[in-house]
Amino acid sequence: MNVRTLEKLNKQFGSSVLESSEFRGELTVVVPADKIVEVCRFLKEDPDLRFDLLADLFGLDMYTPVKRFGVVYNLYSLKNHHRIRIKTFVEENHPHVQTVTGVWSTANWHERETFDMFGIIFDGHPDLRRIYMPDEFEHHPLRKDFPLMGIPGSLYLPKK
Amino acid sequence: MFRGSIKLGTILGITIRLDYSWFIIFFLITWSLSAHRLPALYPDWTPATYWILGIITSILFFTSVLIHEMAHSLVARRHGIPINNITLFIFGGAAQITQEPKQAKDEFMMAFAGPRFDSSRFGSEVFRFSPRQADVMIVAGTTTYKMARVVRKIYDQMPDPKWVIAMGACTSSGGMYRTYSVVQGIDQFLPVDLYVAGCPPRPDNLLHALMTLQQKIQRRESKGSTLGLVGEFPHHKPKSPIVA
Repeated sequence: MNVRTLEKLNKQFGSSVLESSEFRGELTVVVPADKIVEVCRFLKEDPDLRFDLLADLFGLDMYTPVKRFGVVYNLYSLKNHHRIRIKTFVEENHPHVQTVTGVWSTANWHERETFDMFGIIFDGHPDLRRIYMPDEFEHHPLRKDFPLMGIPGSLYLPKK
Repeated sequence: MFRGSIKLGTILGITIRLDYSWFIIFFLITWSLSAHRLPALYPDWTPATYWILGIITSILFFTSVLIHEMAHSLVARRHGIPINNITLFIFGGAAQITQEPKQAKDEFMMAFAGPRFDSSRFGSEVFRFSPRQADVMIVAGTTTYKMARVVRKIYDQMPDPKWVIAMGACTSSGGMYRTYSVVQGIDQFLPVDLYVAGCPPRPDNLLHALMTLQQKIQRRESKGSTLGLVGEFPHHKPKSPIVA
């Protein structure tokens, strides 16, 4: 199944598939950020593959000078009982990824969480607000340069 | 569990059922009363009187079991746990709850007020479900920055004089949650009178806190209220000390 999926992706997108690896039967594919919606839509709507469930979507902070932030999509095919992982990376000075809410509606809150925690902006998202932290909070807590105990005074606390 | 049972009726929306095994215990109680206990106590009555009195006593006994189970059911329903039915069977009565309590707090409060850790023995029995009727606030559980303003609002709604108990390590100091989103101790935004140790604290620990609080009230002390309002007013001195 992994071989068939990868063949289909290579045939459809050619050189767009930057990198692929397999670990213990799980296929991971890295694609460029501007191709992510096309790849996701293809994986979901191909009648043979049918990755129709977005099991998870989350962010990564590699803390590297290039391609610092990543977004990971864990997909599941209810038809084939098969999983695949899609990754994409963006630069620190331009952390923009196209939204996949048009493909899977469930991505809405996942992308809000990733935006809240990492500051990755999902272009075209219908309602990109913070989901955990207060609206007026100015930082992104899961970034590696955010201190564990937070920044004093950045969160409102009632006076004693 | 109760497959063979008779439906007796419905009280306050709770179905009362009678298991077949109940007739065994009903007969045993009636028989032991009528054939042994009553003849021993009142030797000059007729056998018919013994049996009629035995049956009436047994019915009254099981009515009291039913009332006991109704009390359980109504408390559970008050906390939002629906009750299906009450069944009387060979070992007494059983109320069938449809689910476990949703919050650990409800479970704790049920146990705390129940007979094993009976808080009413120490003079604190009534739980109020509104801060406007409360004297003591027990803050239990991790308090995040986002929740802090809500906790503070509840505290501000309580009438003076008032006291605050921080229950558990997470509430008192942040506990194991050493992270940006958790307030490292609610005394950063509330005047706390007592800290209860433990993660989670044992119920007797909280009982001890309540008794310590009573001593504190007798000494007219409160972290959050002005001293004149605790137990006495400037223009009115009570003749005997107020025992809380």
